Amino acid sequence: MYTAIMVALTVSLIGTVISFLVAALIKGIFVSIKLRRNMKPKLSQQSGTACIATKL
Amino acid sequence: MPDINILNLFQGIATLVAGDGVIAIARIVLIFTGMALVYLGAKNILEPLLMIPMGFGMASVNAAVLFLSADTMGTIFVDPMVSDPGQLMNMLQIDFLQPIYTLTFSNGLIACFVFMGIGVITEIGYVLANPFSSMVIAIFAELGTVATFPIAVAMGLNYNEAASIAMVGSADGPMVLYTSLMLAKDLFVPITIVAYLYLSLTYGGYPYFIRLLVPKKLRGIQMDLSKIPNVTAGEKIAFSIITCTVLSLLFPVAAPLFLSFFLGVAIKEAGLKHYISFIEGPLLYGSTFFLGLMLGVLCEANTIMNPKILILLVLGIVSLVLSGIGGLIGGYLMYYISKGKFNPVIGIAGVSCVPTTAKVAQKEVTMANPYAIILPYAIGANISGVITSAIIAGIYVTLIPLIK
Repeated sequence: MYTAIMVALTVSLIGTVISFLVAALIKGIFVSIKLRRNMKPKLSQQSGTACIATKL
Repeated sequence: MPDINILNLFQGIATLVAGDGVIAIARIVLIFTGMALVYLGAKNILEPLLMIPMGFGMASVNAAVLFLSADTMGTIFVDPMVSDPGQLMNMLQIDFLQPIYTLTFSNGLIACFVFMGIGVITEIGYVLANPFSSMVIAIFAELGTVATFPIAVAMGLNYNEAASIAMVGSADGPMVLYTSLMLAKDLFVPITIVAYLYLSLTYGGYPYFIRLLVPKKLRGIQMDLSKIPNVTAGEKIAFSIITCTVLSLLFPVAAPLFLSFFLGVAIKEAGLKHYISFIEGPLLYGSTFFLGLMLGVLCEANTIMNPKILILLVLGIVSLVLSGIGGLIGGYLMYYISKGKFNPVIGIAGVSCVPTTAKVAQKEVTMANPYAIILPYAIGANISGVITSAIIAGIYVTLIPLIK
């Protein structure tokens, strides 16, 4: 019985940790894609400025 | 005039008379239960997609018992216990459902097909929008799958059987089927039947549960839908492939389930319309049909008359009730964390059973406040419930064989 309770606790502990890791992974993917999306216009704007600067 | 015993002409009746009295009574009970399932399915009281083929299978298999030889009785439907390869080759040529059972059922393929279908019809964007709150609820809604395990052991089941019946709390039919096939093959028929019977009752039972545990004032809390960010198809596909790979890496034994579900999600998001229509149509409905029929046919009196069936019936309902309570506790936790802005009813959707529990949650909220919409949040918790159930199934299937 004691072993069964320990197994149940282990399952819930590992399950919780992995579920939160998955949630963190989701958040991470979400944030990185959003960052990339926000960075793109800035980068293209910068390279555009650089092009104009070389022409001058 | 040849001497013909009239009973031998009608072998279904003859086997009733010739066999064990208890089995004969069980056969008659199961025939009427099958008829009742067809009726309840047709009336939409139980899930008709599953219950109508299941009821037909159950009634027919228990009626169609015949003399296979002078001293053995059986049917020409399916033999789930056959393991000898030579005998199996014979059965594949005799029992008309044996090919379906051997090639799709006993290896869990049908569960994976259903899971792929669920993936294709699932909107995963709501999980991506609120991953942590959805996952907190889903973890709490696994209370039944975890707490039932020691209860089952205390009631005399071994670890493999206890883990299989505890998975009923995940409220996910294919998951229970898969886990019991992996861990307790001898009991997978009664466990899966118990699971599907109870799952079809969640639509009727959980609303009373919500009304009992959540006061009307809290049930009517309006969620802020403007906070849900827009998630692109690319983000959903990236999430699917990364999560599938990571979870498969962690739990190779449950990898077929992860692959099926996330592949379904990715196919939907990639807009592969021919695949989508194949998976959500013929594959999902075909698998559900054969799942129902096989479950019914496997309810033969000899197979199902297991002394553990009563224990399984009790543990199945205990597991589902505990998961419901756990889900609502998770909902309350989010309610307190958000300082009263989170509707605790969403907690019930953490008990996966896609999309039934999410629909139940929305229905109860609408009854308390017709203007409150919580469905996107409930679907998020629902999908997280599927993911956490798969994780717990993976842990059980990996961990239990390691315990000496």
